[in-house]
Amino acid sequence: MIPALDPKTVAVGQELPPLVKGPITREDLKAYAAASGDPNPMHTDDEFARAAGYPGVFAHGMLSMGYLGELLVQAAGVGAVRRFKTRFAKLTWPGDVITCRGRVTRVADQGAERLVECEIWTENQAGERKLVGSATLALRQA
Amino acid sequence: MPSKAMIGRVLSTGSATVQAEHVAAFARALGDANPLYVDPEAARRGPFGTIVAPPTYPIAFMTQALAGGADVFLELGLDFMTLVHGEQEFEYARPVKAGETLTLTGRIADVYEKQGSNGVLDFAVLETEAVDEAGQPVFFSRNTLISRRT
Repeated sequence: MIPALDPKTVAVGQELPPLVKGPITREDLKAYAAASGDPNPMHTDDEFARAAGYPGVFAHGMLSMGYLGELLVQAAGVGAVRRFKTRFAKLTWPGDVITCRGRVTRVADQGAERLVECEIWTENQAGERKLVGSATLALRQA
Repeated sequence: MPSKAMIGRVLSTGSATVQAEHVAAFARALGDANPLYVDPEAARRGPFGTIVAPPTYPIAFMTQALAGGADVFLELGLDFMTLVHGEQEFEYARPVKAGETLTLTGRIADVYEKQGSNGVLDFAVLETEAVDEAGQPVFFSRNTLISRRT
């Protein structure tokens, strides 16, 4: 897989190629709960979620952060992610189609590497931002 | 509710070996079938010589290596019914590799409260460091948990 960001041409304002995931299903949430070892029934048991005051189960924040991880690796390659931070601003629901997006905010050289700072976020089909964060990607200069 | 006296306390330590199958199952649950995560042959020929983990895999590894995760929430005094993940940050020295044994140390980095529109919100910041067999850092995690006081 060829990473999308080229160290020679990367520039502030450049957008990462978006990544579309979903629509998220309850089965996706069960699979993520099992694979991640998250015991919280809030993501798998509608009755439990309703008892806690929600309309039903909602997605693990870390599932969406995982989608953003895929966005970053597609942009820069495995091993290029140095820092990765998200705030879980709004809940993501079953049925949401999640688009992961990112934009370069800073480019700086450090030794043989070009460090690329990005703002990153997920949004649903209505354009509502769910996770917002930032990441540092290290691109190796030829 | 969490107490300021808890700040700095080591919550949990543990070691575990990264299992290729665990990494692959985690990647598949994200719908991310990157061959370096799921295909041992492709990974062997790849830049790391073995299966490596996707960027958010440390969250699953920490759950596995630091058994008794739910007890941590009890110990912190966070209400499980209103508990949400507020923020998550990772720093990486390099990718996590299948077959290596990592040692984790988790501590309570901060405890604070904020007045929300729906009552008092309790915040707990948990920091976890992972080092490899040589004692070299591999990743760092900072996890902010929020619960509403009821």
